[in-house]
Amino acid sequence: MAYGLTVNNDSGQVIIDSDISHFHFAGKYNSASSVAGGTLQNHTGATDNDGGNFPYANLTSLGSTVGHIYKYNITQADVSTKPPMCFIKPTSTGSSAPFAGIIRMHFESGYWKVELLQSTQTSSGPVLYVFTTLDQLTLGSDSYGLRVMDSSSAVTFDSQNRPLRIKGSGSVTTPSLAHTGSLGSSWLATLDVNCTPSSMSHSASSIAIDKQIYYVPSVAHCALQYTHSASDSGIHDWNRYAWARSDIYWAFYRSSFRILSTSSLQCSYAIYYRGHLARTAADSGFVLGLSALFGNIDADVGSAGMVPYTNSSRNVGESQGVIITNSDWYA
Amino acid sequence: MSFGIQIWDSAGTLTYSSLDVTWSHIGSFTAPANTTITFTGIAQTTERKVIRQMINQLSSDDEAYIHTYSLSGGSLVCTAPDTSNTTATLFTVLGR
Repeated sequence: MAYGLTVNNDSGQVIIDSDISHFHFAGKYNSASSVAGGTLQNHTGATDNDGGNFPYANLTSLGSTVGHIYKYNITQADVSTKPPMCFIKPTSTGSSAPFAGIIRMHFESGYWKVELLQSTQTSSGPVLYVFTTLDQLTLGSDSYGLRVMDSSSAVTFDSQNRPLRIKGSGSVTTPSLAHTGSLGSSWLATLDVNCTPSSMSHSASSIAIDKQIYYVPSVAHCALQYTHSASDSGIHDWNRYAWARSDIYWAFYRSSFRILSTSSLQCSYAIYYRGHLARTAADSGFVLGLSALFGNIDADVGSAGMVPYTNSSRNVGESQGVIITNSDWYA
Repeated sequence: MSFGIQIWDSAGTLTYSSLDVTWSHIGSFTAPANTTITFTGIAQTTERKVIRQMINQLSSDDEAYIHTYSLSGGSLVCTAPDTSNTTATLFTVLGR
């Protein structure tokens, strides 16, 4: 470059460059609202079949633990074109901590609406530490510090606005399946998360575990489905009986993360939508297909993409970058 | 520290230090849904890292694909694996 400033560290890595628009601290955000992950449950049909051994069991069971979604409203100067970088400060850390990940981000009504999925509900959700470029922020007025501009005189680095200091980094890959092993048995599906989390080591171990915050959006996700059907007919106590029952269970998963130790981060899944539909009839000749199962379901649910899929996964094997910093630097 | 920089504010608080393993933001690029696109002119540093975020998720598909990518020289090639099920993807490129 003809003009400007470049700062390198001991390893020759570029730390500050006037041509690079650095990220700076834009504030802490608590969740504005929260809601349990979605559940769609529905049973219709007869349960009286004149004394036949009708299988009533688990007509209304779900067989999986749904996650909890925390919603945040992030403000920026130009919210429509500059999505912010949202670090997560988890509610707890270690091997018993819930997994959390940002699953949705979109612009709406002057805000970046951010949705964070946590594998279990906690009384208060994670806190987001938000960073963005300086063109989205008001510059500081202190007379001390360092301010760097590019050739267009745009400020690209300003120590007064607390630049992002990334202490640790790495990459993590989501487990390929959210649930390994048997999905279900008879009329009960077990679609809870059942996999070994993947792990990533990083170099931010000098930061106390309860001060670490991480940025790694949820990417990989998958869906699982379990179906079971049965029917019977015959004579019971001099009465003819007949019955049929079909069930479908499903769960959508999103990748999520937790801080395991001062030097490692884990990746697993949380369920953000699940469902169970059951249809029954006092007629063993009753044939249940998907169209019959969905016939009475609210069309809005279907159009929102929450109807069951066949077992599938998406974005498997996609490595995702992770960066870690210290919440105390942005208290 | 042999080389680098440390910056304090007027209260004596350290606000920046090259002793941190600091990555810098090179750029953010949004690949539209269902579209393969190439971004050029990306600054080249010794190391670079890419982080992807699904944004503006397709309302009709919660099982969407995310763009795959390759970063070589000044070009970031973002490929939609599926022409109808790939969500818009924010690429954050870091360098140092």
